[in-house]
Amino acid sequence: MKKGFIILTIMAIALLLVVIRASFVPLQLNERAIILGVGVDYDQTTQDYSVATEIITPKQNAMGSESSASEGSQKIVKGSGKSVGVAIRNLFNSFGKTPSFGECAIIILGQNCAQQTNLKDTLDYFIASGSFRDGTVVVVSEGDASEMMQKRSQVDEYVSFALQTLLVDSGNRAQIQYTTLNTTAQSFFDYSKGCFLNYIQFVKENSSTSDVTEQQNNQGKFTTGQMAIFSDGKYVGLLNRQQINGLNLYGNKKIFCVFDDVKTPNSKAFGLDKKSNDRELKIQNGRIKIKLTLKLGLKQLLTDSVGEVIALRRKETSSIDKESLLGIKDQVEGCLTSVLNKSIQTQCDFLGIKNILFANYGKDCKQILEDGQGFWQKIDFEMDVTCEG
Amino acid sequence: MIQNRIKNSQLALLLCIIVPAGKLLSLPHTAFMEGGRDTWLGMAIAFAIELFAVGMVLIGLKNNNDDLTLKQILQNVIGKFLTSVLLILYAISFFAKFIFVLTDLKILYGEVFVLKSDWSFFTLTGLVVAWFLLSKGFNLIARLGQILFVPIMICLIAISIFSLNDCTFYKLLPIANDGIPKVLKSSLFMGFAFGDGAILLLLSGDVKNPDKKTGQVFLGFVVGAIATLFLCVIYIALFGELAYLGDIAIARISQFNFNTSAVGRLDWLFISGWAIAVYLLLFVYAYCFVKCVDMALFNKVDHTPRLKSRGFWVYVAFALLSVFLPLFVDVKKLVLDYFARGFVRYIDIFLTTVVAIFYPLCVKISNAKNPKLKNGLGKIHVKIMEV
Repeated sequence: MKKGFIILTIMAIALLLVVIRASFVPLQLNERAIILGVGVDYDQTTQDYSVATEIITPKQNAMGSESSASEGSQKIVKGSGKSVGVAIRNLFNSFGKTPSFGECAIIILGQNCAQQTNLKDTLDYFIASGSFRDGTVVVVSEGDASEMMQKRSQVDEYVSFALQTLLVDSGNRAQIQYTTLNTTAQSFFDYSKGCFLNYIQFVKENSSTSDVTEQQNNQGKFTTGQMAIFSDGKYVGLLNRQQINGLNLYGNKKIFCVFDDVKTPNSKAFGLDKKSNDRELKIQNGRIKIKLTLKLGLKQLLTDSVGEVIALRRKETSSIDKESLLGIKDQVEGCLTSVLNKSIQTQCDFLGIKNILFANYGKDCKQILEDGQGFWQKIDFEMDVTCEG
Repeated sequence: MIQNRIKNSQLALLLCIIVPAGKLLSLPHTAFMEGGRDTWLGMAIAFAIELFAVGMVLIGLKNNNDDLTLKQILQNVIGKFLTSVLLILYAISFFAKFIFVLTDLKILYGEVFVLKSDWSFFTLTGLVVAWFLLSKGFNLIARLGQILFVPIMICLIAISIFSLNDCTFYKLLPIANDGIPKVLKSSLFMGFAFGDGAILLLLSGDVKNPDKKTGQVFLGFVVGAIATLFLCVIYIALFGELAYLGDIAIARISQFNFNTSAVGRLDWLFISGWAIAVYLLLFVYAYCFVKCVDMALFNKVDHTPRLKSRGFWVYVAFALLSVFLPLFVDVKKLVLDYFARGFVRYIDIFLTTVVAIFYPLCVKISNAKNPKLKNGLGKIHVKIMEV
């Protein structure tokens, strides 16, 4: 009796498993299109978004199993629609494979898209969708994103990897902080409502002959030396190198900066080695006082024993003379003044001044924060820069 | 020999890893909708209350001279019928928590490993492992926790430390700017995910020498609580006002464990390791459920629902409910609506916290009612029954 009961139980479980298995259809790797990067463009005339995706297509070999991604090849596939969501849905219609965004690490916004649409509308799909990682890099490209995605770097074959190498893997040594979906999206919800995005350009490889093929035309290098700034999702302008240095010096993160030697600008340059900063934001007599105390350690720009430009050789470089240090101090102050002036002039709080004031004062400073134009006229900036080397 | 009996040190290590397990899944983001940036403060208050409750349970366990089970103690205080009702309510609470955490675990795997899995298969896999472990006794779960403690904690520490660089801690400020009631509201909301004191209550009678080294168990809980709170602070510091988005907090935090494509998906490694803690928590919930139903429906005094005879059928019922209920009902919404926001939360808080706080008193009353057990005869009596 007992034995029969156990057999019946096992049979029931087996039947249950068969029914469940039949209702579950797994998606094979070769049925997916693994997307590495997305480029978003906007057409003002048709008011349509177009999405270009860089995909890896694993190939199925004769045995029926999937080959590695490296054996497949990179493809650019496009879709379009009234919104980014619809455009991405149309991708499916383009190639039949299920788009898989789990490995997407970069979103490139075309210049037109960044300037003519609100960043909130464009990025809404990516922010709300669970498949896009919060650390996904977001950049603005010069020209169309779809064109940028067809360019080839001299180092990396895949555009998405090339841009990640430039922005992320360089570990802040590209003298620019990389911008992510998380930081950008947060700016839509905080008090500052300002954000900045890396601005990417492509420099073509020089060709000695006039007969240039399309492939050669797309060969070159990606560069970054500017930042696009946004206020409440709307494009405001670009930051130049000096302003980016100011932005880096103002923030808490240590991002590499290079300064000229005023005495011998053609032979020497200095790099940032140490940084400590203390930002004090206060509201006094109805005015906003920002006091930045910045202490920088600098070293002459050299390569180390293994040939790396950074980290700088600490002990073997001679100390920097006073005149040069004063020159660096002037440059630092110039950078900081320039970036703050840009923020005031454009009324774009990409420095996060309002966020820190709210953190310090809470609801008590709401009136000042919501003063609109008046807020920017009340700012007093004071800096105390010390350079050592 | 009672195979279910565990050491204080094993219990301490187990608590240390299961306390964060259920609270770092969807809790931070759902609680953020209630408490905003002060969610961490609400969590700290909930932990403080729970710490008190755990402390009281440990005092009770220390005074439980004759290793009486929760059922025996409650029967001596409130009678047979009310004890059975309470135990059934405990079982429902543990089942709700089990199914809620299991749903979150499935989402965690989906988000981190970018895969879709079938609910039935996913649940069955866990249930088969749980069946194996429970059939061998609770001490196997405790031993497993002891063995895996170091790798699980390393993964948890790595997840938090590698994300620190991206944190902006001023996003936690200003503290309690929206008022203390909002903070308390978030504490109350989180109540359903707490109540680890109830697990200790259920283990009463299962701990070896409960009168010795109970400090270890308390320390284990405190370390688990600090780790949870730290991760919650990191979560808000990373995402600010966006903390309400997403599903699983630890999956979002771990995304910042890799900043370079050269390093690869470090988060996969850490999450795989840490997810074992979630499984251990699920096994503990399953054990507690089986034990509650077993004690409520069957009169036999036993420490060990080792999935033999009646215990097996209780487990089968539990497994069938776990597999099929979520196919027809949105269990997560149901638990959030009733256990986190609805009236059921007050019953749950009563079961997990109030009973825990009054546990030493119950033990005292029970000891007073059973003077025979006090002089050691009880132990012989229980052992004879086990034989």
